[in-house]
Amino acid sequence: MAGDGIARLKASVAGMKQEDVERATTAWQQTADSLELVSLALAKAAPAILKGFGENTDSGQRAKAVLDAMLTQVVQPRQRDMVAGKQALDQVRTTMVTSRGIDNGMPTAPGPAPTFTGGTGDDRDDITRMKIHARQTQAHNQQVAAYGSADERARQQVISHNQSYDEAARVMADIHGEPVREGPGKVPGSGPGGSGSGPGSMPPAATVGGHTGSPSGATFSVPTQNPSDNSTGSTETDPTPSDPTTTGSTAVDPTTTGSTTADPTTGNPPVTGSTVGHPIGSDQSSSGTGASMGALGGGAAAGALGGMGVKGLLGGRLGGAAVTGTAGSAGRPLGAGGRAGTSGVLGRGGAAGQPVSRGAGMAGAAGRGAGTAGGGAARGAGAGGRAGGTGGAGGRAGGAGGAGGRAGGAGGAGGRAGRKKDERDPGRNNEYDVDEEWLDDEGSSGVLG
Amino acid sequence: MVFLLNQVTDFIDSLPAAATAPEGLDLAVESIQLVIETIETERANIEPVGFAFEALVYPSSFGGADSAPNLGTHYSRAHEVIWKTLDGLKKDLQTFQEACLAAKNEIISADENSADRMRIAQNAVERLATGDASRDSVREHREAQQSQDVEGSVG
Repeated sequence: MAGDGIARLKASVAGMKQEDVERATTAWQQTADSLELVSLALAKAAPAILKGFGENTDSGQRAKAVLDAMLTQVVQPRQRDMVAGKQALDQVRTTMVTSRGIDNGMPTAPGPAPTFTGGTGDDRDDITRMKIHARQTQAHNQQVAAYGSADERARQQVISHNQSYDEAARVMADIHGEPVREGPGKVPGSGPGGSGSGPGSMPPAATVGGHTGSPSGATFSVPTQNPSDNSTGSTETDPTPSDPTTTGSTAVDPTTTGSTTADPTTGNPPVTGSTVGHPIGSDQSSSGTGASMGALGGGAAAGALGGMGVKGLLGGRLGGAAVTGTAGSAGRPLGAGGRAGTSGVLGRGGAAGQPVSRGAGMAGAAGRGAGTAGGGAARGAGAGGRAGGTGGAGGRAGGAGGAGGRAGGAGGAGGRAGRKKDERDPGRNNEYDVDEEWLDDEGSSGVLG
Repeated sequence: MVFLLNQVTDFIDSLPAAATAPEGLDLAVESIQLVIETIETERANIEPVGFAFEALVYPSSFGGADSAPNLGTHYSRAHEVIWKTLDGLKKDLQTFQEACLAAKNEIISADENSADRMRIAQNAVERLATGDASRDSVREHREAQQSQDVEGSVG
C-alpha cells in the first residue's frame, strides 16, 4: 500500500545520530593508523635486522622471527579489527546519509480525492464545475502516482538500509568473537509488517527494575578510571553530557531503563510507531515520528483509496466517484492505525518490552494491535521476563491486527515465533489462545501486567 | 610463536663454535632504533580510555530500522572488546620496545674489538625474545571476548 515504505523509512531514520557514528569512525581510524605505522616499522625492520645479524646465521633468523611474530600475532590482528570496524562504520554512515536524504525528499501524502459537488451537468455552471473537477482530479492523480513512486524508492532504501546494518553487525560480531544469531522472525526489510529483528534475533532481554530491558540484552561498558582494571568494565560513564541515559554509577542502555510511560524528551507517552523502544534523545523532530507515522499512514491509505475513487470518477460516474472517494476517506483511520501500530509493535515495541501507549492503541481499529502487543510484553515481563512472552505478544498483535488486513498478516508472521515458545509450556496455549477478542475489548496491559 | 628465555638459552648453547660472525650490526641497531621510535610515537596515540569514550555509540543512535538493535548490540560488544584489548596491546608494545632498546644497548656496549661478535648477536636476540614473549594483548583480547559472551547471554 502506498505510504508504507515511506513510513518505514521515516521510522528507520528516526533517532539516528550520524555524528555519533562519525566520531566513532574517527576513533577507530586513528587507532588503525597507529597500528599501521607500527606494522610498517616492524615489517621494515625485520629484514634489515636479519641482514644486520647475518642472513645466514641462526641469530639473524631468530631476530627476524621475533619481529615477525610481534607483527603477525600482536599488531596485525588488532589492526585488522580496527580497519574492519572503521570500514563497517563508514558503511553505516553512508547508509544513514542516503536514507536520511531519501527520507527528506519524500513527498507529502496526497490528500483525499477531490469530490464533485455539482449537479448532473444539465446547466452551464455544472459543466464548468465538472471541468474544474476534472483538472483537480488529474492533478490529484499525478500526486498519487508520484507518491507511489516515492514510496517504492523508500521501500527499496529500507531494504538496503537493513542489509547494510546487518553486514556491519556481522563485521562487529567477527571482532567481538560471538556469531550473529539469526532468529526465525528476522526478515530485515521485508514485508510491511515490520517483522524485524526484535524478538527473533536478539539475545534474551534483561529485566531491570521489573521492566523488560533492552532487546539486545547488551550492557555498555566504558572505563571510568583505569582501563586495565576489569572491575570497572560494567560501569559506564556517558561521555556525552547531554545524553539523558546515564543514571547513577551503573548506566544502562537508554532502551533498558527508559521510562515505560513517558518520552524522555517530551514527557509524552511512548508513541506506537517504530520508534518505540528507541529513545530519540534530543531529536525533537523525531520524537513525534511515531505519531506522525500514523497520520502519514492514514494519509497514504486515504491517498491510495482516494486514488481508486478518482479512477472511478474518470470512469464517467460522478456520483459513484463521490461514493468511492468517501470510502477512501473512511478507510483512513483503519489504515493509519494498522500500519503505524503494527510496524512499531512487531519491529521493536514488543521486543523492547516497553508498554505501548494504550491511548495510541485506542486510536484506530488496527491500532488496538499496538496496545495489545504492549500489554503482552508487559505480561512477559511480569511473568519473569521470559522471551517467549515477548514473542507471544507478537502473535496476539497479529491476531488483533488480522481484521485490518495486511497489517494483521505481518503480525501473524511475528506471532509464529512466539507460538513456538508457547508450545514449550502446554498451559499457555489453552490459556491465551482464546483471548484475542478479550484482549481487544478489555485492554491487556492492565489485566496481564 | 612465543620465545621464552630458556628456549633462547638452549639455542645459544647449541650454537656451533665455528658459526659465521654476523656482519653489519650497525644496520641491526639502526633498524631496532626505527622500531623503538615508531612504537614510542604510536603508543602515545593508542589510548584505550580515549577510544572507549570516542568510539562509544549507543544502539539508539543507529536509528529505528529493524536491523538497528542488532547492529547496536554487536557494535557495543565489539567496542568493549577492542578497548579492553588495546590496553594489553599497549603493554605489549612497551615491553617489545624495551626489549629492542636492551638489544640495541647490548650491541652498542659490547667491545667492538671483541672477537666474540656472535655472542653479542645472541645476547641481542635474547633481549628481543624477552620482549616478544609478552602477550598481554592476546590474553586481554581473549578475556574481553569471553566476558562479552557471558554478559551477552545474561537474560
